[in-house]
Amino acid sequence: MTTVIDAVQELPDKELLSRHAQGDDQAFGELVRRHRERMWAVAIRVLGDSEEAADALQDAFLSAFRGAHRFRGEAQVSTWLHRIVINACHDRMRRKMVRPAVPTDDATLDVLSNERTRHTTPDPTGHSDSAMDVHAALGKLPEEQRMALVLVDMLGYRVDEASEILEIAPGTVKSRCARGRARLLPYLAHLRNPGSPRDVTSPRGGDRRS
Amino acid sequence: MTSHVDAETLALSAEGLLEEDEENAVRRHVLDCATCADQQAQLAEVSRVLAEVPAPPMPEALAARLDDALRAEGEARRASGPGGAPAVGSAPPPPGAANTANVVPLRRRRGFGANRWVNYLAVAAAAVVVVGGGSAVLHGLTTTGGEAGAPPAASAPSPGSSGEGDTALSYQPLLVSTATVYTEAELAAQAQSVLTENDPTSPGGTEGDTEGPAEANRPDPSAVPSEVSSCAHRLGPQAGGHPLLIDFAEFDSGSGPEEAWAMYFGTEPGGGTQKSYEVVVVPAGCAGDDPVLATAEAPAP
Repeated sequence: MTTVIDAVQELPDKELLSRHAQGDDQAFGELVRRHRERMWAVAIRVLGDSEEAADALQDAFLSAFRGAHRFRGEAQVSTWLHRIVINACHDRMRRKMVRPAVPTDDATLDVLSNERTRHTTPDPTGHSDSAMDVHAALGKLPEEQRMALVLVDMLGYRVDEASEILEIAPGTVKSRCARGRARLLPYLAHLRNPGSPRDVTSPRGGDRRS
Repeated sequence: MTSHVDAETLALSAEGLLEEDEENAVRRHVLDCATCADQQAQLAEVSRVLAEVPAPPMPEALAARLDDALRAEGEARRASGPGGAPAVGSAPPPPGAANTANVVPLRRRRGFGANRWVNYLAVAAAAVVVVGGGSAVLHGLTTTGGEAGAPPAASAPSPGSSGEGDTALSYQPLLVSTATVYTEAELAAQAQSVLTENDPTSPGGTEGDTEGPAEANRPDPSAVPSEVSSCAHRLGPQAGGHPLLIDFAEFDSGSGPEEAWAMYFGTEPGGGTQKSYEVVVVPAGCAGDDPVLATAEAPAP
């Protein structure tokens, strides 16, 4: 991981993965450098917590490192990596017993939100309440809807890309997104118009930030 | 149309997922209904709000941490032999090894529910890495024993011995733990996904794999519950085949995930022509007169 010859940097992903599987010491490091920012973007949005996202990313890259021989040429390496990251996030969520598939009541949501406030590393870009609200709201979605929305709406993947990553039909991506948006609607309505009184638009009422 | 259109219908309409009749009805209603028109506009805003959520950039320390973790992993790999096969033979299973290579959660933190498996799954996971073919081969399931020194995975499902018509499991099922929480409704799709990642008929592996210290890392048959084998035999006739893949995972029947075994039965042990699998989920331990929690058919990847 110290010196990377130019040749390695020029190689396509698939070649790097194949070299890694054959014992090349440098190849995987280059793959990580290429993809870690993007994989971080996925993990942090799915999990909404820097510490969890970092753990998930490490899980995922170690998993990919060990499982490189499982990669089959049909998919893009980046698609394969996305799947591994999504799986790692899925597992983290399950271990944390944050179960989006089970409807949470508002008290649970507040607890989640507070926990994030306590544990999350300060956001250097300006920690925003709206980001917190969105993550709390995403936490109310069934996981499958959350994953689809993270990829399509938050990260801007095309439906066919998300379809390949999640290994579901494009129509399923669309319907999961649609149902997720409908479910998020009551929780995000106030963000659309920050000036409006929260008590009116928030389904929870009250001011949970106090 | 007198009643309002619910948000989900509006959202599905926006994606063009409604049947024509319903779509037309929605359009007509929205034209005349300010409430629903407003709802529709707000739905479009949801996507925008999501797109604009700021996310913290990747912490600098994480890049170094990833490098460190992978360097350690690489050293373990090198230490295990010059062949360069992806092996961790001499190293203890790293954090998260208690799982298959494609899904590696760390079990150390609040390892709720899964720890009982770790003892032998950690061993199995080491073998997954060593053999390289993605197959943790369990000789404990092969009642014929198999050849002790045979390369375990390069041709896992197709050993040389033709056990045709033999009631014994004369082939070697692939054992994995994907951390999937199976549900009845999603079983077919979940099974398909698991099969894609863990194709029991895939030869996989590379030349170097057969040279690794495979024997030392082979899962200890005594560490796998004996019920696995008897359960596979019990269910075989009913499922019309042989278990080719066994996933130590969980099943959620609506009251929370419970440990469960998903057995993938196929008719072609050792063959590359498997068309579909009969997936049977049973509770861990496989107890009871009728242990089957759910079944589904999944096409071969």
